[in-house]
Amino acid sequence: MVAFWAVVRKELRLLSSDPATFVLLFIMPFVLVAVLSTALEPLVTGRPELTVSVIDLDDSEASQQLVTRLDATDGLAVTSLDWSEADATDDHIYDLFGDGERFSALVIPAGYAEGGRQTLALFGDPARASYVEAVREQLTAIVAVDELAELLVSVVIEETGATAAEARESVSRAALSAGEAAGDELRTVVVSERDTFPSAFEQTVPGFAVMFGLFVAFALAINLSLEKEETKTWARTLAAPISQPALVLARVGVYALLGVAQLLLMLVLGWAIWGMELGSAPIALVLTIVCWSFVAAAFGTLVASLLNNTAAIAATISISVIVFGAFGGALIPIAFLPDWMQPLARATPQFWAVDAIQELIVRGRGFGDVLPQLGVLLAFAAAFLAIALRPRTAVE
Amino acid sequence: MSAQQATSAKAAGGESSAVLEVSGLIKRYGDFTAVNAISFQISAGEIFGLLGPNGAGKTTTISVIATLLKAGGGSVSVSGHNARDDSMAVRKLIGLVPQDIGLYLRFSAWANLEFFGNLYGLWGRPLRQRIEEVLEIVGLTGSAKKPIVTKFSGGMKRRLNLAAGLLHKPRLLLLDEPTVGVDPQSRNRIFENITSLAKDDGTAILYTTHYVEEAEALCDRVAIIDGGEIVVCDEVPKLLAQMPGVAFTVELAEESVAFEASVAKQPGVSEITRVDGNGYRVVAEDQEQGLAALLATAREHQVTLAGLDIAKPNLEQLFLRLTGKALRD
Repeated sequence: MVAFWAVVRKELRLLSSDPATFVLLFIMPFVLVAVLSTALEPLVTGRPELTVSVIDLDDSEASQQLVTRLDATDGLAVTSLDWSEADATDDHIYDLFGDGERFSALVIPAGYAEGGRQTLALFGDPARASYVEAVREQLTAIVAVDELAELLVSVVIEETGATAAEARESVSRAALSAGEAAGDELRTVVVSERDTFPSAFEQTVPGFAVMFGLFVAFALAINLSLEKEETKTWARTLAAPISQPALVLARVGVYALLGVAQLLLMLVLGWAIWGMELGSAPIALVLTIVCWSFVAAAFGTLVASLLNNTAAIAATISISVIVFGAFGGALIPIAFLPDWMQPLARATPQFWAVDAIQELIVRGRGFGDVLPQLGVLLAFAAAFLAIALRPRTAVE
Repeated sequence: MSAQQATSAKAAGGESSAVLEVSGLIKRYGDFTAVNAISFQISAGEIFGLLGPNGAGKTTTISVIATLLKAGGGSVSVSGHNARDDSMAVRKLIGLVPQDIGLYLRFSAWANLEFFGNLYGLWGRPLRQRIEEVLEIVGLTGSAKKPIVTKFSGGMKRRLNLAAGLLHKPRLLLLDEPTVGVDPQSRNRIFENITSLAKDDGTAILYTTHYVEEAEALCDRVAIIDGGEIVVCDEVPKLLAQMPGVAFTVELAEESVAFEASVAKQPGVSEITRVDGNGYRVVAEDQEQGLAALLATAREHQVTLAGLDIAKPNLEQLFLRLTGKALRD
């Protein structure tokens, strides 16, 4: 045990004299989490308002109604352009998108009111294809509702003999009434035991914190590699009467402790700065963080055992942070991933760590709900260490 | 073990007195054989030199003995403990002083020794006393608390490197080229320490080097190793006795086939070997006679001597004679 604690003390002493590791483990992740969470806030809380420029060449009651309906649609903002037909050339319309602020334009052609609705033309900035597609979906829905209403109006006229104006008012009243009734029934369904919907930071910070928690693996593997390559203390240590598992576990324990400090600091700062809630099961949260930190430290040990070159280790772990972060739902929420990627998420420890933390923070669950995730995380840590400690000669 | 005990152990002879027994040791890396069936023993209080050029297999041999590498064949035992089956017991008995400075340079000398002492189970007051002792041995008492990285010269680092291997009073000390890049003052200090450890404390010492002078000055016995094989192994005087007379290294200004044949026929010249280019190594029974023969032959064949070096037989020349190549190639 004297040797085990000597390794622990030595690691702590080395780390305390190495400011670079502290910047890597505490400053960098916090800055990255702050920047990325702020940048992604609109994406997480809902889509940003989509703007569409409208060129109404018909200038009829029907076309104006369409513009009004577009403008009244949630998430759509309409800017009307007073262009003549001669102005509305394709080239001129595409010029609109050069300023980076406009990315879609709707052209209502002359004769729209006379039944030329199929000739509506939507132009879009190719660089903002997803936004243009969203506008197209909204527009299609409005036009479909309009056509349905016209169909109903014609049915009312035919059945009741009412005038067109009376029929339109009747359909409009019926639609309003149906909408109000539906409004009573439809609510946002949130799978949560919390009273309020989680904030953007509560949704993004756990993922990023887990993702950058892998910096622990980076620090461990690089420092271990430097002991082999630079200070050459590794061979001398291995020649001492301490078993390799004890040597590895002492180091993993120290770095896991750092990982716990890193994640706790991140969450506490999130609570203090962004008002994040940390759930109602603090012990379960700490245990989750402990398990994830062990996985990160074990992963660093594994990489250091497979590669004997500091540059290769740095590259491998840097890529792992991004790739596993993306696959595991730490970088991007799982729901945003393509269908083929989503099943792969469960093969990464990041998925289980993020899932457990979100269960506790975002969904307000308790300790019993995250036990399976903690079990999987410990299994990952054990597997990584088992491979790292595979039988081989000490210096190979 | 005291010096007297060590001496009597050595005098008793036989395998029972050996601290280290290496028997038929083989180590391969794929198709490359780094160490090929070497055998030797080291007794308590004995300094055993492993002399050979870089890549000869010295460090590989030490790594297997230190349990850092597994042998591909043969056996290593330290005080009766097999290195393969009982590696923990072996590690407790050996002190490794690696070729590279195996120290944490951001720590002080004291902190380094404290850590390595802990690894061998030492702690508390006994450890503090032992650290003071080893610092005294290597002459670094006044620098104990200074950070190595800024305050230690290369020689001081080497001495501290040695001290870290002595903390637990090992029965077998493995010194892998411990004086590389060391100033003469530190080198002398290290030599004194090593001699004292062997003769006063009875420590068995395996000393690898490619410096002939060190092997001749320090070692009781030397094994010359090349290409992973021991070429010859004996006490230093007996090895030197294999090289009677005096050796000349002659460098001719231009090539002359007749010169070599003519020198070989001169009375008193026992050997002439071409070394490289127009260089020859000539061994003669007597310095004056050999020198006269060389000069006369050069005159006779109108050959200009570009260089001439005279040396009494040493292990470097023995290595050259046995392997056909220079030790520092």
